[in-house]
Amino acid sequence: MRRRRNQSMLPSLVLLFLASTVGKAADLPDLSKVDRRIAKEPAYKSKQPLYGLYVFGPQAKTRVWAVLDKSKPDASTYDVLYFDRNADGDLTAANERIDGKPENGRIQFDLGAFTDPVTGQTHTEVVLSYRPQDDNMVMFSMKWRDQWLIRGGYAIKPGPYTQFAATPAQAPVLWPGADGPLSFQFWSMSPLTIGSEEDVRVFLGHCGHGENTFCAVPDTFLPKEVPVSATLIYRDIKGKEKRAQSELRERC
Amino acid sequence: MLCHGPVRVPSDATPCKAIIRFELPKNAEYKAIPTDLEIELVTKEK
Repeated sequence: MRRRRNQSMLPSLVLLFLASTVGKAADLPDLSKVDRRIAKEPAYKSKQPLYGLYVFGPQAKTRVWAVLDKSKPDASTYDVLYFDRNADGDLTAANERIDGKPENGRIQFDLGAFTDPVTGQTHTEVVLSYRPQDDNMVMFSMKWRDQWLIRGGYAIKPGPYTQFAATPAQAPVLWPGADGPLSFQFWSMSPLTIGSEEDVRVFLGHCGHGENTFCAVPDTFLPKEVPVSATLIYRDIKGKEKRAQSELRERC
Repeated sequence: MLCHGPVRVPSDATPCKAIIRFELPKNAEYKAIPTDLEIELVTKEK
């Protein structure tokens, strides 16, 4: 009996493998369930403060709210940041209000060192950079354990990085760091052409929750002799599942 | 911040959404979850 090609099985390949990552993803903390309560907020000057949430540690248990505000109600841009330095949910401590410095079209907030109260780890050179002229995007960077420069949140497609939200409930959640299991994300990915060999670029780091929230380790983090395995899982013209193996060895 | 390299798409592939599974070697110093990312395969434009 002639076997009928079942075109409807093609989309199921994607669903099968995306579902198969759930078991492996069980090793990762579920950032969609992070507690979003803020114990105490200051009296903001802007009509609309903007919220972002950063989590730290191998289980992402340390929560640090970051809220953009204005120095005056009629200020032209967000130039004040409230940053929960001791991760206690209270943003009213005197040292948690930081004035931004204008720098090349950005507003930069230098936060110095941050010690995670859960793990005791100290991360240095913590900087949050707000870019009002670039779709109001926010870039976070820090030296994890005073060793590795972590940056985020990156987007999958060309466009703005993280954008803070109007409410805590909608705030993006970012997990900067290199502890806990790492994962991959495309950078600026385009469709691949059949019968060709094309350059594919990925970040290594932690996914966040929400758009444009991937935080990446530096290219020097992974030794050059350690390849990233890339297995293309596809269907051939007869509908059969096949695999093609490649290795990513370059860094940039 | 990026790892990159050539990924081969065999000529017997059909235009559709496929998966690329990214992994580190099992003996790598750092642990990474095998990550399946969706990618679209297209035919070469004539």
